[in-house]
Amino acid sequence: MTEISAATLPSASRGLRHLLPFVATKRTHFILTVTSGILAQIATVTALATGAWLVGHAVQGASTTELTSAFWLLGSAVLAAAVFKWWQIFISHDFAFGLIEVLQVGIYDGLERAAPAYVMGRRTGELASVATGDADLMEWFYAHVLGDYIGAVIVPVGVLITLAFIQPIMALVLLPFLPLVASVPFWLSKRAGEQGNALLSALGLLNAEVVEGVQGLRELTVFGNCTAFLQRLMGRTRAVHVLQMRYGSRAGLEQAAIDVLLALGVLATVTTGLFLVSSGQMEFTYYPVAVVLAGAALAPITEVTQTARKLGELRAGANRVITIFHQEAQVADNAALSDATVADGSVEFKNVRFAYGNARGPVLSEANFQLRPGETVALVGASGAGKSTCANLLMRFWDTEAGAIRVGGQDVKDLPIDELRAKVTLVPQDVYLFSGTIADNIRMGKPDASQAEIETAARLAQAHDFIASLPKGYETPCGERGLRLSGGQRQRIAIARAFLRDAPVLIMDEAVSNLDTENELALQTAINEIRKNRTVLIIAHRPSTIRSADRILVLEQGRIVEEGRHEDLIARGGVYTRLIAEVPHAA
Amino acid sequence: MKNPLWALAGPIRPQITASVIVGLLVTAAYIAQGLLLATALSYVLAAHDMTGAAYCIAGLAFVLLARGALLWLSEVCAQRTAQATKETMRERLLAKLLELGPAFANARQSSGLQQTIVNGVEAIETYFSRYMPSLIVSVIGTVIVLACLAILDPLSALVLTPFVCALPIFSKLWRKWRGSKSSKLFAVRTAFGTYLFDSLQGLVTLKAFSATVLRRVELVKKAIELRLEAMRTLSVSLMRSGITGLMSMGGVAVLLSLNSWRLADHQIAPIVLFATLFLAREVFRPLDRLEREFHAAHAGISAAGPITELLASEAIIREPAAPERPSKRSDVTFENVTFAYDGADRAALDRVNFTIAEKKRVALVGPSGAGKTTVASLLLRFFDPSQGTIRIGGIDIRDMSLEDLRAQIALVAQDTFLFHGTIAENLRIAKPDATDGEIKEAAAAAQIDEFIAGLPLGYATEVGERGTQLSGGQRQRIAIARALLKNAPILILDEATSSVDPASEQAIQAAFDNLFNQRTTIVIAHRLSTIRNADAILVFNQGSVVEHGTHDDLVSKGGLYAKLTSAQQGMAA
Repeated sequence: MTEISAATLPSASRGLRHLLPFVATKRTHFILTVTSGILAQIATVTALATGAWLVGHAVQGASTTELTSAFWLLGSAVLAAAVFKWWQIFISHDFAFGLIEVLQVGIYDGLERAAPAYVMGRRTGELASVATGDADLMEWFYAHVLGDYIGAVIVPVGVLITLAFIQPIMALVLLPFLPLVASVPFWLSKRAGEQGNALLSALGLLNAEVVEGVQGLRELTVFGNCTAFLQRLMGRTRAVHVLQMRYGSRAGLEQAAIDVLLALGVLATVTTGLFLVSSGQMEFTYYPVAVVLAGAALAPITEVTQTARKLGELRAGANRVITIFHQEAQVADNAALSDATVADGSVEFKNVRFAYGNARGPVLSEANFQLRPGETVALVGASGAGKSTCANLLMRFWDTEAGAIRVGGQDVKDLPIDELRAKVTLVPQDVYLFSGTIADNIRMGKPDASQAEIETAARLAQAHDFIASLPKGYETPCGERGLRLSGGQRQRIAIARAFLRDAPVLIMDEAVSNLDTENELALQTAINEIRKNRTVLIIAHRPSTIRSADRILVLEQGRIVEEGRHEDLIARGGVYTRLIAEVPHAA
Repeated sequence: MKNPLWALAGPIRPQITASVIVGLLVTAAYIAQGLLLATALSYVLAAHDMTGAAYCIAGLAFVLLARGALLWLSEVCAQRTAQATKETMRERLLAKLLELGPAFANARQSSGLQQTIVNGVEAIETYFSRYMPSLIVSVIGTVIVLACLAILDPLSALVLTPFVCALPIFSKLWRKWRGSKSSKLFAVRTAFGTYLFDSLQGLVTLKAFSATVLRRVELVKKAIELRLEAMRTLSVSLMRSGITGLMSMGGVAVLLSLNSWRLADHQIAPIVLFATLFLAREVFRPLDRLEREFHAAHAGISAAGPITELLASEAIIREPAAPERPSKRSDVTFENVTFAYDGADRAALDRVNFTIAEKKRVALVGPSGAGKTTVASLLLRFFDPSQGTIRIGGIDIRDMSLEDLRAQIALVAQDTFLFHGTIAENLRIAKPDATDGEIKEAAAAAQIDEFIAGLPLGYATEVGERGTQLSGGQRQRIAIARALLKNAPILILDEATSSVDPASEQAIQAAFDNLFNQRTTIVIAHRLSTIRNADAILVFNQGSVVEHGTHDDLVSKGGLYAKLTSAQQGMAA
């Protein structure tokens, strides 16, 4: 999972402090979290000190009546401590879960902005594990780390000052232990970060492989690979365990170090106190109070170091969350600046150059072509010639490197993206159906469509009959593991969706697969229906589709090399003739 | 333990015992600390006896160092329990998943199963590794601390006892009042995760239809639901922490007040009061610890439901108790086979009879939904027929082990699943010990060798998730190469060349032709031109074989096949 790891962030910007800006959105909650935490600590210290004061005075022979007021103080402090503690847990979690919600939605937003470029090539299982697992992990940060750490700074300092009033030398002895204890999580912080990263990556990998195992179970079964798969996954599980073990062992060591340091701090204070008392420099009455205060000064630090066990994991998780959170938009939307609209269904590619990144060379170089309103144009070419790229650029999933694309006379970069995508719609090659009903999937083209509209669209797309023949009709659930529909049926659902969308420009990325006669006829009828009154760009593979187009564009090595009608192109005997000659049914 | 969760974890008694022992030693260290502090103070108070006090301090130093080591050990113990638990659970879950097979997986969302197997197990682990030992330590530890206190002063122990008992009593009452409603947190979280997963997989479609905002609204709703459920779940641990906090501090405060009063009244010695100050808190420390672990474990327990459910699912296919060896022959017979999918209102196959002689090629044709692919699924035993028998070489396939059965069949399906990994890895699935030469040979026969060789990394090229870096045709050719590598006596081609461009299709067909003479072959095809030279053609319609014969027979017969053929010729014209 190197892509989502910290490696993509500049080293200076790593760390948990990137989680802090979100706190500003819930300022009141945060202030209350910190306040309640501090109040709870103060009440606890007060209760402890009062108890110790009672002991100190009782052993020095105070009378029962002298102690009564302290009884009351002790009682109220205990009650206050319990109430504040309760309040603190409640408010800190309310605060944390609220922010997790912000993060989860923000992860979706980040991926949405960056799609499809960022999502491509990454495993959905891994991305989902960031959004669910890593975001949940942040509960620790917001509920147990943030407020507690602030308390762990303020409270010990306050207690130390109080102790200094009672016995300055003891305070002085204790003082060095405070920074020493606080520094422990930093001793091995680099290793903690590395271990946390490694651990989360391994978990992400395990997630992704389980998803693949489920989705590819048929292949595993047919090829008798189940045992091998089980072994590999158990290997992955064990790899996670080894990392967790290593992580836990280091974290346990830190915890032990902190505990020992704390105890030594108290011990040093107690011993100093003993000498002070025995040499008569301190009254015994205050000795128990001093000892208890020394312990109490360090208690909040102990509390936070309990959560330090998770710090490495947290840091790694935060990095992955933040990386996605701050994904920049693939293309800039000018919705706010422009109210340009699409006038008609004309499309123009002018000197378009494009590459998907440095690894592969340019996909399009100097691509030039035009579509007149209402025209149906077939885009043909060998696989890898850049056909789908034209569709991606026209939908503005990416921006061109050079040149311009115009729809209805407007440069797509000047159009609000919503306006562009309302006017240009897409029937993709691999139609993805969301879980939900068939009706829901069609309705995506027009969220407020009535059932009648959906059925009309499905009829036009030649999808109504097969949908109606399903036991639950339009209410049949589909989606990832739902209904198994053939490629042709899926495309017809996508066409129905496009009908509802009613955009003047349609891009159809034709399915490559051979269809059975029934499906092929139906699809053809649907295409004939949808090309009426629309500009249609078909990325075509089927000879019948290619020939029925008004015009054919031949794409080779990123540019249009031939264009014209089927007969003209055949007569020319160029690239097209070569392409089509390989298609025996078209001859 | 009567707890049903216990059954999930497997044999982890030794690990838990180790955790408990270390936990009790930590408690003992805390007791020693309290007692030594109290003694030191009373030495100083009594006679300013510095030597006695010094011994106490030295003892204290030793105890503290030992406790540091014990704390580290307890973390290691918890990790060991966690790893053992998770390994057992994952192994059982994954084995179960494989046993349940593709029919089960197809009916479920993969991210839901992933949540159960990965995150569910991860969440529930805390229950075993931390909560369980803490629970035992808190019971035994508290009793030990109380006993120590009782030796010094029975009344002190007696006063603290009701405060200690308050937590389990309150907890029980609370559960009674709330109707022992278990947390739905895991289920709600899974629902959120599944929805998000679906959104991510279809993100491009969402963008194309400007539906990302609508989808987001729904997602926000689910996120809010998740937050509210998390807060509801929290309210339980909040109640417990509140009571524990109040009882532990309240108990100490009451006892301190009482004992100071008793000392002032000369009823007890100072050491008892010192012990009260330093030891009474230790009574509650194990309970505090338990609360902390409860907070972490409580949400995880809700993962037990889906885990148990998955483990309890019954496989629809059973391995025979005493499997027969498969026959050397590879003829295939369907005898009166009837089968309906779950929830379907009509049978996918209805009393189907046919025989495919060894090394013959039979084509299955017919409209979509006629039952052709079901024949393949039944032959591979993804499902069992409700009636009738399927035989290979005369042996009922239900009497063979699944491994033997599936070893005899190679399948090229309509949709090809490729695993994340390299092309070579995806091919080796069919034959893990295949040499590079064999792989190249199979790829060449499937007309994909040239394409692969042209890639910068060749066979080491990553195919991407579900093969997304490759086109449909390329994926399918890899699947064909895979089937060729498997080299099984029976070959099923379910629309095997449907995504391949016609030029390559012919070449692949030629490769298959070489195989056909040595294999029993079942071809499911839409393009009738590709099956003309089959030895026999079975025409399916609505789950029945309505016609059979050779191409010429069927055409002259003028039935469904003749109609289908002429329709296709009309299209091509």
